[in-house]
Amino acid sequence: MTDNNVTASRPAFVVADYFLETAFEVRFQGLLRQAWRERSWHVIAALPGSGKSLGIADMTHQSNVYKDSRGATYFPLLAVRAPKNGGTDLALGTALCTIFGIVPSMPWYIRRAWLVQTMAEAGVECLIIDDAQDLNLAHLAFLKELTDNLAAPPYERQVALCLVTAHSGKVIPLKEIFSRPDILWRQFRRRLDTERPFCLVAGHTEEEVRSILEAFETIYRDQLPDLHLLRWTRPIFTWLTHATLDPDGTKRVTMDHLTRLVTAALRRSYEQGASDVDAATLNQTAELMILRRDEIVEISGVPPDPTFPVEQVG
Amino acid sequence: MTHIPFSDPAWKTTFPFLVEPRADEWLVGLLLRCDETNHWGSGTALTHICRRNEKTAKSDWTFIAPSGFPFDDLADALAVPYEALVATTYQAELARIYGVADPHALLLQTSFSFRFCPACVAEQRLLTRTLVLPHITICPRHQIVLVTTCLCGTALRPFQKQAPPFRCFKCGLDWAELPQQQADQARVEIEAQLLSYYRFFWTYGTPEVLASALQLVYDSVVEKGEIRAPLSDHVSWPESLGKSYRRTSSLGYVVHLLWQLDLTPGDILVYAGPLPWRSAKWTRFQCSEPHCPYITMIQKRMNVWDETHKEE
Repeated sequence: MTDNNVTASRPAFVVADYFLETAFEVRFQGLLRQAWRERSWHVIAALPGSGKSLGIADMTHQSNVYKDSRGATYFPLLAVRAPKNGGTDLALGTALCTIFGIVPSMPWYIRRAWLVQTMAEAGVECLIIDDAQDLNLAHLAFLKELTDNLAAPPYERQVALCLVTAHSGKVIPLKEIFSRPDILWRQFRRRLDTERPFCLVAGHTEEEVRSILEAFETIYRDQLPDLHLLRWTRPIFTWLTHATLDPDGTKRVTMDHLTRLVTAALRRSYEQGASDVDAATLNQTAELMILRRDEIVEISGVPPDPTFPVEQVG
Repeated sequence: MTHIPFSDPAWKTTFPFLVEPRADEWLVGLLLRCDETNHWGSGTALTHICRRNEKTAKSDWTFIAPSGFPFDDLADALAVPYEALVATTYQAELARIYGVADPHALLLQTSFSFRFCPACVAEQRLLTRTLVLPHITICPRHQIVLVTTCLCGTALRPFQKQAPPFRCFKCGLDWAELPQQQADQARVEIEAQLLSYYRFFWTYGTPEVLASALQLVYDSVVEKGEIRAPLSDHVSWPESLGKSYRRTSSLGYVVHLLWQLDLTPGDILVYAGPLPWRSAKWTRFQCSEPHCPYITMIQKRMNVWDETHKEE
């Protein structure tokens, strides 16, 4: 189903940039919503590439956050990414301040108090820290201080806290820290939810992969009119649960792997002038992801189609 | 009302809590409200805005016509139109009246003291720009005498580092709690008249109308045969501003003269017709007569006034 004439006249393949409410997102966002509603504290772990950050961003956008010119700022769901490379409480404080917009420079002791006041006035109800595996002891102590100050008079605001982490294997980050005997960690541990303090959100089953492929069919049908991805559900699931891509042997598929495989195969098919994807293209792409993922590609010579004019001199 | 959702790029370029200018609000009041709404010390927003703009000329912190003030940066930070912020000063009005692109506060008055109405602050945290006008000492809305000092005797300042907004930086008293002294009725009537002159100039003011007003003042002085005030307050551009040297009269002074001579805005409009000896430089009058007794008399009086001031 390829046509070289069609290839020449076709515009470039466009990768659809949609947020899909996948089974993982339903599970993950459901947990965040429950924590928000009940003002409970959790450590939520999922494999890298599951779609945690996208899910958090989607929830923030859905949470009716706004500022208006009459002085009202409403920010019920405040999500930030943990500072990288360690740092002190200042680094996390700055990340939390910056999310509100422009904050003039001021001494840290003033900013600390300002942040509590601002979070209370903006109606923060749930605090989500993404990449929480990067939090250090100073950050965690600051989070406790911040939430304690919000809970105390005059604000008296109980705030939900979700520490969202990436994990590998059966080890959930932060679990070991909160088990330590120090007073701070015992206090922290006490604040965690009774029933589900540490949660591990699983990736997609074969059936769930099937429903995502169905969504991809709809999304890409305008570019590949005969697209029929569902029939490849089983091989796709098998490839993506290969030990290379699923080293922990979860037998679940992450959204990142699935999206990469599908979009790369669809692009390749589209560029070949096809109106559907075939087994060979999918197989080649999967092979690239599984068997040749560490292959080093040598880039040499001149790019075939320079976007800027090259002028010969000398 | 501006409404900024989280997905709007303006979210990141605006202050955490926004304020918008109210009717007749003065820029200083707006900046203080911004500080208060954001739980900052007084002057925090101002310092931040000016830090972002190194070109800011700090020659006029009366905020009447703040030359070089980064209105565009403040407009971005508050998500309000640029024009709405300029309207919190008298920059546009003075530019139109004096026919200059970048007017200086000296064109409104030569001296300035910070004052406000405690009732306006108590009700709405409002500092109106009307209260910065020369010779205005009473709030036209509440008919309360404007205050310049705190109960502790400290001269009040709009911005003081680390001090909370709308409070005395020494004793911490809220400006809203300052005594509200009822104004004398006679003074209320005088200031109502003075405000009517200002309103006239804000509405009709152009260099031609100002020239007519000055002409009317001079002619009235001659007609009445007496002078109770010098005919010019000799406003000149500070050389540091790099503008060409120029002398004129401040609007506050013109308004005061008009009131003293009992001239009305209607008189100015009537006088705005073509005059045979009006100079292109409207602060100087060149009579076509070789020995004009009128100009000679005015000149003598100006010289007398100049000498008196030199002695002082």
